[in-house]
Amino acid sequence: MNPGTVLLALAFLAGLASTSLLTRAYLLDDDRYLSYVPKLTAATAVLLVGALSHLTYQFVSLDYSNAYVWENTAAYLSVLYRVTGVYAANEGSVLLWAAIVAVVALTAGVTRGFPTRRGKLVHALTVGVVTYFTAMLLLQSPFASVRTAFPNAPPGFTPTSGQGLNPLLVDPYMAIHPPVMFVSYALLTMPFAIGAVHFIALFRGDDGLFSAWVGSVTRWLRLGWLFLTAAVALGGLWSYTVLGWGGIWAWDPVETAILIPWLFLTATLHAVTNYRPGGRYRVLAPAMTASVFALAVYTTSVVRSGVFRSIHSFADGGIGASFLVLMGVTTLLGVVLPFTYWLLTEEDEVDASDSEPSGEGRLAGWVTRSNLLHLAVLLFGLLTFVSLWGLSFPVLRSAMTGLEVSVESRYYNLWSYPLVLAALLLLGFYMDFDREGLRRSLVGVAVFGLATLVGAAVAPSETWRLASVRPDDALVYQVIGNASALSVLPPVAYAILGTVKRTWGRIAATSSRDARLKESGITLIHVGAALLVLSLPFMYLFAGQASVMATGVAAGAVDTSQRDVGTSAYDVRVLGYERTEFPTDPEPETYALSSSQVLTRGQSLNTSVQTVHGTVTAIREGPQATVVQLDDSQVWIGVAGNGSVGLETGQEVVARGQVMWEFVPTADAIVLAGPETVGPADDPPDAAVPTRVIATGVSLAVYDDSGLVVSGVAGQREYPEQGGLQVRDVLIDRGPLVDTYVIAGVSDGTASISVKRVPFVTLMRLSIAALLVGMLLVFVFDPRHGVRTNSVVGSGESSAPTARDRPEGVTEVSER
Amino acid sequence: MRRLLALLVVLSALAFVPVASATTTVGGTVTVADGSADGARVEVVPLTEQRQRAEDAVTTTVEGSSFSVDAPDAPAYAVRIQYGGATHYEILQNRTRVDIELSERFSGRVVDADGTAESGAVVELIDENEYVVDTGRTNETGAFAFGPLESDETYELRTTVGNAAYRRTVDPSTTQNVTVTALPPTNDTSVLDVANRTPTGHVVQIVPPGNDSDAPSVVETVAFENPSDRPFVGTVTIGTPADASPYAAMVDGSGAEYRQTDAGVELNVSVPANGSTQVGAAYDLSGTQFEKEVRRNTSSLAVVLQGYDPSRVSHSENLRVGSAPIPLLTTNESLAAGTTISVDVAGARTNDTASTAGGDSGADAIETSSSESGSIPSFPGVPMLAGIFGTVAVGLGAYRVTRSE
Repeated sequence: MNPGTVLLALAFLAGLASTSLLTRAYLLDDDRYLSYVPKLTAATAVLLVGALSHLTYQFVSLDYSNAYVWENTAAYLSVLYRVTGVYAANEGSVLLWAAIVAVVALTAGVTRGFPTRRGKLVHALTVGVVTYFTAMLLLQSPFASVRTAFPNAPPGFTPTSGQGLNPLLVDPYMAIHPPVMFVSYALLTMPFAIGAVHFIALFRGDDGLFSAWVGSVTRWLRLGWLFLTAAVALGGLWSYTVLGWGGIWAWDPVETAILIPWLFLTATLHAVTNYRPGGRYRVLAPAMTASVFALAVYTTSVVRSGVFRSIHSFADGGIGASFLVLMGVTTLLGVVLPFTYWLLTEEDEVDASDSEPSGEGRLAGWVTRSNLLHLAVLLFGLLTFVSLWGLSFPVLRSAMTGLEVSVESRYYNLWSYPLVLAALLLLGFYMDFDREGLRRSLVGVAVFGLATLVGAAVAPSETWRLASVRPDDALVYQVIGNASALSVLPPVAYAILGTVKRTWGRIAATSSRDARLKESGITLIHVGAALLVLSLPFMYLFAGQASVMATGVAAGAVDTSQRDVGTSAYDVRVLGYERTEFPTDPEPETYALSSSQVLTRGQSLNTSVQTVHGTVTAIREGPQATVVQLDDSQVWIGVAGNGSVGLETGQEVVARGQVMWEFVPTADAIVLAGPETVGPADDPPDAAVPTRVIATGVSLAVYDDSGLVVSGVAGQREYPEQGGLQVRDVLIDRGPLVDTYVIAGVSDGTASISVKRVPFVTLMRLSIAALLVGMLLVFVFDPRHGVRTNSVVGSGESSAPTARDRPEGVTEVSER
Repeated sequence: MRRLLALLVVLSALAFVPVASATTTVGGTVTVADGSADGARVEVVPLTEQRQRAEDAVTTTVEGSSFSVDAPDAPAYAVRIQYGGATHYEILQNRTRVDIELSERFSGRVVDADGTAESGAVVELIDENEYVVDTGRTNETGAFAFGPLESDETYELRTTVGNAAYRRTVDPSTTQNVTVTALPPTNDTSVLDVANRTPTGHVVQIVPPGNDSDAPSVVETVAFENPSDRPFVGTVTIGTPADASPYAAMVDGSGAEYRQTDAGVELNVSVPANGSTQVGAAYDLSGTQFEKEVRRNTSSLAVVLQGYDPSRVSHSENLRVGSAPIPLLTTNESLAAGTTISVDVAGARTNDTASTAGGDSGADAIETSSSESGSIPSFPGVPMLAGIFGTVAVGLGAYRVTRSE
């Protein structure tokens, strides 16, 4: 039992006790023992955060007695990437997730409490999720001893150097992408619990708690969306810089897996906006709220259970089965439960509002903001479905026919494209309608809709066509694939026009600062989304690349004159060649054992090959071998052969060889080195010092017609001890209109240089920033459900403790 | 139940989502004249344009007389059907259906020059795509039999007796009986011709040196054809220029032992009766000049000049610049034995070091690699953004102006 496992076990017990007490209180409607719950929940959170900190500390201090640390880090990595190692594989990721959910559960418990019976069940569910994660961690612990990796090693054995971090993760984006993603997933746990408990309550015969909790649900969802958007964006930007294909999105299963919850969360936010207690969306809004987390768990299962082989498969492992169980439970609570309720309550639904007016009146009766929002939810739902089907289809297919096929990106692109355009036109129309009324907005949508169709038909050149179509493609691919990307412009313009116009009016109409800021936020989100849609097709359709070869770069005989790059407008100058090995001149302590470490580990090192370092205190030359004493200790280095080994007394040395314990009577340990594996510490023999990274690159300058575009080093980093894996070092110039993206593959003195031009990446960056800033404004300043306003209102009407006493059924929302 | 019904309708609509995945259905029929192909194993291998395996193969069996299987998308497929000990191949390009009719049979004997049976000889049947369809051994009377075979395919029968190989082309729809007479091999090189094949039977490839020197090396390949019924087993010589120093030789694509003689490079070669063998030699030149006598009548010869500009190469009059995607010289007409061809590549390097102004003379210039360089389409980003924001501005204005009430 190491400290980490103890922390986990205690967290599990605390979580289990808390969950049990809450469930008991709910089932028996008996508040006895309930006073322990806040303490237990806090204890769970503290213990899990403690476990996470302990693991992080182990990573930073390179404690290789922990197998997980040994597998995922190495001494040459900087502190940032040692921390990244914490969530480089399943165990650490789940610990991170569990710790964040625990903090979220604690926060929810502290801010809202659980005054009502159903509130206790909500809390029981969230703490239950934490407890489940903790149980998973106990089964597959991030604190397992390194001896699980070396079953035959004697007790106390510790490797001197770690395996190293997956090279793809050695990137600043990857250092923050996973925590951001897990924060968002953790935040979605609360809406899930609220939604699920709502339906449990409905089944038990009352009207549920959604109407009372809608403000809280909205805040959780918005905060979750904020983090999830950031996570998707960070993931995309990571693949842009690290994978070297010059794109942000390739419909890799794992990318799709995080997009699915994002799309559905977006749909859910619109659905919750359209929710009216007891009226519209009284089933759908809570149902979607409950399903988002189930979807997130489903997609995570897809990643972690190793169903798919994809670039993210570094997270393969046996934790998959536990995820499948979690998936089953969340699907049951989040999807099956609401769905069954919907099927069973069919008879209650009578739409009395149908008065069937005729002609334009009928249209006017149909076109309401609510119905338009309904359409938006439907479109986002369909978009989710396109991705979900594409992700799930290979699994179904493989299960049915045994044939594993991957879904082409065309499938996602071509099915999603018309849906996205429709969503933008709808957005424009909704905003237009809200401001201008039906007649004028119909004219607007007709003009822009027609322009979209015309745009789809007019392709100035073949580049504009969305996809290259093969003659045997299905009709839908032929039609959409042949459409021109010009069709994206009218919907984008209409959406921006409508949004800006409505905001203008709304801001002018209100004097409240919060309302203005919220409207600005809504505008930023929707304009950002429209610009994002604008940037994506062009980023791919109008990307292009050209290549040149530069020979003889390593020999120093580089031709430094300016050369054409293929047929493009770019020129390139190769200025030099660089090759660096890491770690350079590492301290002996980072890769070698000191004599006292050897003695401490003792017998456990017997017959293993180790690198040792120390100061020479005695040299004895024999006829068969020379022996060298380190640090006046019982550790000696033996070098076979007679004659000088080139070492002097007092010198700091490094040697690598097999450690023989009690091999000779006069020494405890002798390290059997050869002439090639022993040498002075300031110039250690190559065989003794591990090379972890070989970075090769060419420094170059890229020019276009108007002069220098970018200069710097492009090349690759090779990780010889990690299967020779290579990661590209790309050179990117982030221009206002286009990015210039330079890749150089350097081998055998020849550099193959590719210059890519990727359009509208900066536009995409700006649009993502707009989405994030916009949501932050809405999250904080929304007059109805904002964090700031809510706390202001809360302190005004009653202080925080009394908020707990707010009786259920009192709605936070008042219809305007 | 209305909701359940609606749900079922929605779910059944899924069946109509077309080709979510990249698969193609490959199918067809297999009929056997006097039997049934039911249960025969079918393997469909996705191929690249270059006929390399592109993805893992999928397998199925024939049911009744037809089969159908979903295979990953690929430009071409190889279909292998195993029936009765033989494997039948069909390459599908631009089609996904194949109808195979196994109706023909043929038998034969392998005998020596005296008519005595050659028993135990290995007999192979090769189809038009060079796949081995079936193999067998002759029995004590020298007899063998193959079938059922495809009616619309021509096969090559290959057998080996001793160290000599014999080949025979068989169309089983017209020939049902074949006797292969294993005449004793000859070592008379006069039975051999330079193959008159497309693109050419004799290729001289002049390879620019990798170092500073001007002297190129040459890789020369000759396809020898043996139209006689006697196999050739003996030595052939590839003539080399007088100043050449050979460093390698090959027979049918793999390295071979060779002897350097005054005439050139001498190799041990076996050319099957009615078959052909490709022979090659590689040698360094001492200068930029390549000159040699053609040792045999050659209908066409090509000098490949990758790395040189053919228009700047001086050459004998019996050569001209060829029209091919790669730089080369070809013959005007067939060359008689003893004709001299010469090529001088002095100063014809396409990336001449002299053009690297100011650079180190030894370094190769940066050369564009035509295979990789793509094109970068022009990107009208500014007009696009101007269009969008212009439309927004005009739209805002239009709404203002038209709001009369």
